[in-house]
Amino acid sequence: MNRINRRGTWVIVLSILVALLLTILPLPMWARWLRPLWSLLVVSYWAIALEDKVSVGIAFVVGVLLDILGGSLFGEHALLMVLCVFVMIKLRRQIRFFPMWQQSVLIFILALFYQLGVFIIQSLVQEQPSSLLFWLPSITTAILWPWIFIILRDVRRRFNVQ
Amino acid sequence: MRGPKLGLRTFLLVILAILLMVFDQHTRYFVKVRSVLSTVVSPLQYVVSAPIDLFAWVGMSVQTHNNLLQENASLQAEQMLLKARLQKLLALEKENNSLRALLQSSPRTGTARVLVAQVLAVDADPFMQQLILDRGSNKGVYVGQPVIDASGVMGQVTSVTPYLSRVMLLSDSRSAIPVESTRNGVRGVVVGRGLYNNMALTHIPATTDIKVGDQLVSSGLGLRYPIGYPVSVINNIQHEPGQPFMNVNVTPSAKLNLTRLVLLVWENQKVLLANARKQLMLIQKEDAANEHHRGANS
Repeated sequence: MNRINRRGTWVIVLSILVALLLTILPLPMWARWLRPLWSLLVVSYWAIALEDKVSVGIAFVVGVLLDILGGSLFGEHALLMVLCVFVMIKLRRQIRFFPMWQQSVLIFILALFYQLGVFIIQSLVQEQPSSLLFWLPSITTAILWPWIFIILRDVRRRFNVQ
Repeated sequence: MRGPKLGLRTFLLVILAILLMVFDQHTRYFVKVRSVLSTVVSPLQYVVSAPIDLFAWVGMSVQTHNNLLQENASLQAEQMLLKARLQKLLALEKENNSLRALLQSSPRTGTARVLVAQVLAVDADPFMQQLILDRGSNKGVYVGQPVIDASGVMGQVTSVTPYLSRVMLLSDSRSAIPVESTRNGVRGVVVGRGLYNNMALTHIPATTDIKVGDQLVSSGLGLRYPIGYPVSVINNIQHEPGQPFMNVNVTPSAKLNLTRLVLLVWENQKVLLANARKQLMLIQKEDAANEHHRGANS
């Protein structure tokens, strides 16, 4: 049992690492604004699947890592990750019974909220994003949610993460 | 059962995050914390960059013999040309120094130490105009160090870890660099606005003599960037009647988002300081002369 548990932890850590790698993967100029919020997707999935393992604490750590990797204001992504994951955990019972498209809509709203937070904090400390392309990631994030959900669910069953 | 506990934890973490943001914005102390934590994540940055560098390397290795010969020939021709120009430059430098000695002014040129660094293929926050270099404090890189490329000033180092460093480009909206025009010595400050190909020359009075195409070089007044390196070229001047200042757009000289190889510069602080003093004295003298002139006229 203990061994299975430990393996589960490794699977979760690895999936979060992959999300962080995808966040800093260089993209061509035109695609930079399309990058989905990978870490939000992955942490949200684990939060609704195993909320006593992945909760706001993990969200905070991942957010701090995002801030360091991106060089943004310290605590900016940490704050938004914590808030989004809190909402996910609060709604997790309903979410499990949502059809996939409704889940995607919810993730879209969540990602929009996340982007709005980034927008507000950015305009408080320095330049605010000038182009409307800034809001695109919420759409790509919502489109990717079903795939992330299915892939991570299979991973979870395969490795018996609990 | 978990409900209130979860709410409490969230609340505490939110407070913590807000405190972090406030501290990061208003204190210098966090530079150190950031550098320690950056060291922890630098393996991630290497992991992402390595395969891309590998692809570039493979691409280079499978180039045909013919291509390499061609490249070699053109590089040699370029080197000849540069060497010829350098000879002229050395002669000019000598002449310049002796003229300066005649004027009893300190020589401007000192050979600065440089280090070649490679830009890691890693994306950062799209709001930030920044690069990550593969050299860090173990090579003596320090916070505030100027970075240049083959065609001009790039920016300055904002945080270092033992093996990596982060560079804020001139185009970042937090960046400013004092410049002067090569045509007539008009001084100004170039600030970034978060765009790679467009920066602003600020607080230029409407009557100043500047033209589109003027080359701006670093003046060294900020005691941070080396003196006399190209910074930008004026590409657009607008003046709305009634406004005291002009809107001046400039294009950076360095290829801010295309360069893979850059130079870290160790500038001699004494030379910078002496030069800045001299320039400030000159400015004061000019101002005094203008005052005097105005007084005589009225």
